[in-house]
Amino acid sequence: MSFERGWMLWLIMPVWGYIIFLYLFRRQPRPKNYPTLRFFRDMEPQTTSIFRRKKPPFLFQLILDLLISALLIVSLSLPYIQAYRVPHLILVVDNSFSLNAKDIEPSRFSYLINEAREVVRKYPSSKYSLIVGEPPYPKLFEAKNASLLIKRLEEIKPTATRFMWKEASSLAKSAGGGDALVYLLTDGSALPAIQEENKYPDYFTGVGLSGLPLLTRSDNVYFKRMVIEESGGEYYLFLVLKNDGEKEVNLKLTVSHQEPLFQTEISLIAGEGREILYKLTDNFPYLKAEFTLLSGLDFLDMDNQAYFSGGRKEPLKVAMVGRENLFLKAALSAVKDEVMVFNLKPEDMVFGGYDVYFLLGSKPSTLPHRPVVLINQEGEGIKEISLTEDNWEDSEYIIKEHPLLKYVDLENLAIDKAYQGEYKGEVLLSLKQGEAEIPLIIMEKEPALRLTFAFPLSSSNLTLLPAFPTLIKNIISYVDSKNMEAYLGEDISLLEGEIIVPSGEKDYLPEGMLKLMEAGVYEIKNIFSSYYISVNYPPEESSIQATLTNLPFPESAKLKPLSLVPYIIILGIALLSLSYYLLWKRW
Amino acid sequence: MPFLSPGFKEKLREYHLNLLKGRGTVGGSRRSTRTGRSLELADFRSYSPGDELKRVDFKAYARLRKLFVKVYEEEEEGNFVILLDRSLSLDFGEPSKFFIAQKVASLITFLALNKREKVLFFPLPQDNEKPVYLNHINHYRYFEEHLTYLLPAGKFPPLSEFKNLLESIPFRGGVYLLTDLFLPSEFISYWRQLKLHSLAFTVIVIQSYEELEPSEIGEVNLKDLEEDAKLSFYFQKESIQLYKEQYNHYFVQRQEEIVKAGGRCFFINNQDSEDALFYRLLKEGVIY
Repeated sequence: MSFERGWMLWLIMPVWGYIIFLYLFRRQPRPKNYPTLRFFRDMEPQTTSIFRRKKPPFLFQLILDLLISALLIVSLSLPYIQAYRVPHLILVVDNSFSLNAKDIEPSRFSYLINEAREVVRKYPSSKYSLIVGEPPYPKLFEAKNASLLIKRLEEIKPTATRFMWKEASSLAKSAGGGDALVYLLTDGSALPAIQEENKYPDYFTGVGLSGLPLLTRSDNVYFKRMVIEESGGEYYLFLVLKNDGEKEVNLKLTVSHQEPLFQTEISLIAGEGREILYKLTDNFPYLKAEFTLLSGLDFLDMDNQAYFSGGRKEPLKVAMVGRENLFLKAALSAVKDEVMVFNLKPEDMVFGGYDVYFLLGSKPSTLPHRPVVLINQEGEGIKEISLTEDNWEDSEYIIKEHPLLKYVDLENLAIDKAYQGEYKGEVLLSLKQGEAEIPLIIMEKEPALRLTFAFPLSSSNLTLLPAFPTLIKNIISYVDSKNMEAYLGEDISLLEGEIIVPSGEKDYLPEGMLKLMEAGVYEIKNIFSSYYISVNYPPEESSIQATLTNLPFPESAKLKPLSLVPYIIILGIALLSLSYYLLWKRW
Repeated sequence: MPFLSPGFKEKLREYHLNLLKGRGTVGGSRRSTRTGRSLELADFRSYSPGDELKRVDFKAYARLRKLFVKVYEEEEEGNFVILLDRSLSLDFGEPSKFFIAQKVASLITFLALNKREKVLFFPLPQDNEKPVYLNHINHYRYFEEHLTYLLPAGKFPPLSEFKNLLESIPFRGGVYLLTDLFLPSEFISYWRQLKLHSLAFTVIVIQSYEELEPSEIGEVNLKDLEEDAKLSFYFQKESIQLYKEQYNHYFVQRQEEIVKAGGRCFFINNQDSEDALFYRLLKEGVIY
């Protein structure tokens, strides 16, 4: 039995308390002196029933009162029986390290399992699934019944480095379709990111799939986004459906690549957006478009200390992970108007929610697909490599031409040595400034920008000043412009930009306002004109097709929960009548 | 505290106690013998302390070595004994039954003393109270005071004690027993004893309105005033009806027994006013 207004059941406690209070402190039979009791004694055989009217009826009355009041409250809290089973229950669980914490007895993970038990008990289902949101990609387990699901859950160890909640919930939605009940069970370390997610729209590093019918209008339902995302070497098709109409729609989504990949039925209520994640085969040939705002790079004018507000309106979100570093903090404060700085503990670090990461004194095994600045990683397993002609040249180029080093005083810096970094494609260059050696790694291979400063940030290294704050500013500016991706309906002011479509062609973007009208379609506005550009291939060249078909709604009658209110009211009336009957009978 | 109002007392001065009425000529002769002392000897009885020495028959003493007192006809007729039940059961009602009993006792005493008759007063149970002997109207004031200090206590004496008490009375006269009739169960024996030790006896039963007409007060824990007994009772229409039947039956039975034993019995109520009391006594022939 469930309750629509479950909170009302709490009223039972005070009401019962009051009734019991009245019972306990009820008016006791008055003591009365009487000249003789001989008549009453003589009467006793004739009036046994009168003399029996003592405690038991009162107790019975109390029980009736308690029952009636409880029934009244229960009926007011609108009870119903879940007359149907949930078609599919999906538990999305977090098995990150933080669940080992013992702040809740016996541990957070045990608590999570108990919560899962509660959910399973509460929602009987005909199909159970368990999704473990661990990297590199969430795993989906099927279970025949609830006990097997829990058994499966108990086998899981909280050892994952992070909780891929976004991917896991998307997978849950695609696995369960519209009818499934998806339960996200996490210890809350992912919650800041989830809350941030609500504040700022989705921001994936994937690219719009060219050639897709990205806008399939059907009763105002359209694909808000359709991207292929790479995560840990796997490729996922990520679809976002949005219903902008005023009615609920029931749709069939078919995704095909030469042959059908999957199809699912989806119900979208008015205004609802639904994310669908589908894992593609490893070698799926995907296409991407790059979108660069060229002018955005020049917004930092050192001569005038002026900041051009080109680029995205939303401030850049910078995560500072690890112990607090005053030096870096001071450097970041120089750009505090352009960025939002979040201080995170290493265990709270959630990838995906921030635009750039500054990692201080911590070195996670995996790095996010976002620009990462690693600081204070001195001497940890770096291997010197010989500087050949080629890489020397590259390095030189990087040093001299890289936009990051704009306005950085490099007069006294000279490339001294080069090292092999720990991460793939990472090259560590040792710079010299006078006698001080400053190792700096700049790695700009896919998928993201990496910068590594391997010097200890002690006072002796302040020799880098004022180059360092400038460098930080450059990083911020660079990240802001390089990884520009517009959100739907968002205005971006730009001085100058270019867009590279998947075919390799480039389009020039003039100074003006840029707005993402629909996925892959941008509106460019300048003072003279307004026009649209598309970054997509023509539909005939599309490799993945997604179509939406309208479906009739299923009959909803049998899904209606059975209200118990009338039955409970009838029971209450019956008990009340019994109570009054007994009173009338005087027992 | 005076039990009788001065006006009421004035009214009473015109009346006589009528205990012996109905005993043939004795009652009629009583009035005529009040003034004279040349009386016929009626009987002898054992001497008991308090008796006048001049009444002791020394001739008989010389003969039998035992003190006898001459009892004259005149004394028999003019002596009254008031037995006031002061057991705790009378301490009930508003005003209490005991107060009404005191009132009636003082009324009888006043009537007797007013007509120069003598009254011997016993509280029951006696405890340490001595009997009070009154033979002058001036004693009435002291008697009233004495009554005021008398409080309900104990239980009605058992038959043996009652018998001893009656035997200690130095004369045979009219006996008034003021009681609520909640006596030990050997009722008939009590009436026999009364009959034996008196010329005539009247039982004035004092009832309280609260007993007669209990109200529907629901469940109460009843406590016996005399016994250490408790009982829970639910006062409601049906149970009160039953109770009243029991109650009335009890009193009717006692009344029949008393009449059978040669006494008179009537009931007064604690709600009765002075006048009501007076007319009741008049109606019952206690006074005339």
